[in-house]
Amino acid sequence: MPSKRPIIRPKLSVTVLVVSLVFVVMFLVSVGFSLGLLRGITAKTQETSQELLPELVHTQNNLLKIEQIRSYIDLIYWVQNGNLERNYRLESQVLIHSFLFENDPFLASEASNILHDIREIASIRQLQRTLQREAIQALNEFTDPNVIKVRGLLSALPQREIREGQLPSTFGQLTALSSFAEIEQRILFISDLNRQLDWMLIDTKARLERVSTYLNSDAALKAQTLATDIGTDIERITQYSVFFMSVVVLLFLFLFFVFKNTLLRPIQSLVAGLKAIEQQGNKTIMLKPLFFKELDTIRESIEDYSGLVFRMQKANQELENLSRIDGLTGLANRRYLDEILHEEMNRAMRHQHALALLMIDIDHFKGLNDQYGHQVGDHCLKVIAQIIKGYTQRTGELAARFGGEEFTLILPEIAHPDVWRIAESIREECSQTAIYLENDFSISIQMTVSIGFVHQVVDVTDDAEALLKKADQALYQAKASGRNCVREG
Amino acid sequence: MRKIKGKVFFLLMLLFVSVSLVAAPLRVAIEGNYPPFSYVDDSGQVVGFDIDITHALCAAMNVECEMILVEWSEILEGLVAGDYQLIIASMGKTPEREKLADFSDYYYRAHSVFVGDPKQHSKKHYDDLKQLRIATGKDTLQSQYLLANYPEENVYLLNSHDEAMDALIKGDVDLVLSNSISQLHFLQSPEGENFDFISEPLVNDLLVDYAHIAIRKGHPELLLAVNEGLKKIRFNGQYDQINRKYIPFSIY
Repeated sequence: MPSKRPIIRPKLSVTVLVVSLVFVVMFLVSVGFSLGLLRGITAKTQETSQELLPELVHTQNNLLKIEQIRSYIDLIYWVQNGNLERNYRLESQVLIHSFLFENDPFLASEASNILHDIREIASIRQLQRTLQREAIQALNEFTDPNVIKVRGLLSALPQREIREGQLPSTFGQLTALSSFAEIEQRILFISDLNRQLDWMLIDTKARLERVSTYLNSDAALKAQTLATDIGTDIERITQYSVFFMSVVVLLFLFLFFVFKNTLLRPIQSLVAGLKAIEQQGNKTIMLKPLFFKELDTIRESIEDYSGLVFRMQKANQELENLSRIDGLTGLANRRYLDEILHEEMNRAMRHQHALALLMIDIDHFKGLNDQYGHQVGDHCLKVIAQIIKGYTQRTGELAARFGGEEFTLILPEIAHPDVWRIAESIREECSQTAIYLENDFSISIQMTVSIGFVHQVVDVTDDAEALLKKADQALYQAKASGRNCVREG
Repeated sequence: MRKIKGKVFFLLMLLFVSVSLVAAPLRVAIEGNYPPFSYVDDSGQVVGFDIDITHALCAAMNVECEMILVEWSEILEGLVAGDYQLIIASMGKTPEREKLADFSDYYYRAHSVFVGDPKQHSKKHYDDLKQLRIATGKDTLQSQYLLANYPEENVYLLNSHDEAMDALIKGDVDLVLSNSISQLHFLQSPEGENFDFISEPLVNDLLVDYAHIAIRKGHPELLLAVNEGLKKIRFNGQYDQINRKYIPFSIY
């Protein structure tokens, strides 16, 4: 586990600060970015409308001008007055001139053609007027009343109505005149020019029609472009908004995920670890290393605490053991013996079974001590203690040092013959055990023990003291009977 | 937003202009020698498109105006000297003039065209015109153009449009180059009946003639008020009325 520790262990406080700062900066940047984009789009939209709308208005104005030119052409065609015709022609000319400045080659060239047509119409009309005047002058030479009538008719006729085949019948009388050919030629010329004018009028109007269609479709196209452009911009605004919102949402989700994994879960695991200390048993709690320094410090503290608790439990155990055990022999001491005897008596009382208590005393131990010294004495005590301990197999059986060279064995739930057998077996084993001195193997010491025991079904009137006393009395009898024997009390 | 700000600013400026200028009437220079924009009629009154525009504009700006008749060649000097705050005299915007005055949005458009005797010069091309004596007003866009493109000895710079026309009638010059609207006005008058437009109109950046109002430098509030005033008279129809009174088609 420690090998998996990440090398970097940032501080939570610093990280929170940095993340907040990064988040704020990112937010500001994205807000700035989106705002910039939105502003750009808005500006572009404004630009398109500011550019295209005036163009639309301009196109509309041009259409108006075309209508005006059309009426000028009609006026020039229909008006019979040379001065008015000239005025209209001049005005239309200035109006058409304004088209020449348009940044549109088609419009400029069409305007130039229309201007040419208007001039042509005006000059044809002028030519017709001259011809008409000359024809009238030619008729002036005659005094014939019919001719005078015809002359009057001719001067009253507008030029546009002088057409071959449509002249009043009185014109037929002129064939007799000497200068008829000359007059007829002029009238026919006027008539021809009228036909030419009619064609020109049709042509020019068709041209105007073309220009106005062109302007109309141009205006429609521009309006459509405007609508499309603005539509595209709005779509882009929508896209950017969605993008921006997604970024914010994703960022929040990411932060939540990171928060959950680096803060929430670790804290939960720390709490769980802390709780686990109570039931940690005989091993310390180990927790996963954590990303943030503060949390990891807490983790370390919990592990340390767990270790401390573990060590304290161990020390307690040792202390407890120390208070129960006889330092020299490793058997239970007198205090623990009392405790267990009490418990076993209670147990025997509850279950109504028999309990045996053996008192074992080393014979002539004082002399042994005097002869070989305390160290040998102590050694002998240890050997005998080991032998007695060997007879504690079942639960509840306990070997204890009663004091001095006296030992006690508690054997619960046991039959009477078995107690005899065990007591005899202990006495036998002790008497057959040779104890060698540590520094001199040639000398071996033979020891014997005297054993007194009680075996009885315990009842409420009995107490441990009485039981011990009874066993002690049996031991005394054994001593009195010459030692190295077993007596029952 | 900007529009609202603009409007608020405009109203504040209007207030400022009203306070500062209503007390002393706004002084406007006019010219008087440029029919049909500005000319002296039979009764001796100065009338014309520019004059009517001045009246309408002053009303729209809610200021009292005093019109001062000034010679064209001195009109900018007077503005710089502070004799008046505005010039409403069909003035085109050039870099040189912009050093001396601020200019409003344009208030009409025209182009330049030659006028002369159609019997002699009707079908002539520009290059043929170079041998002819050409007159125009002094210190005008047309004079700059002529000096740049035509032999100097053939260019006659006269004090005003009217003088140039007189020279044409007398036969001192062959052609006059001037604003199409003024030329039309001349051609439709009795004096002009023997003349006509000569050649095609000159398509040249210098001669696309946008007329502006000149404003004394350093008065942005006045410039703003003038532009707003122009917009107002264009939108309320006064402009079109004045336009129709002098010219049969829109010249905006």
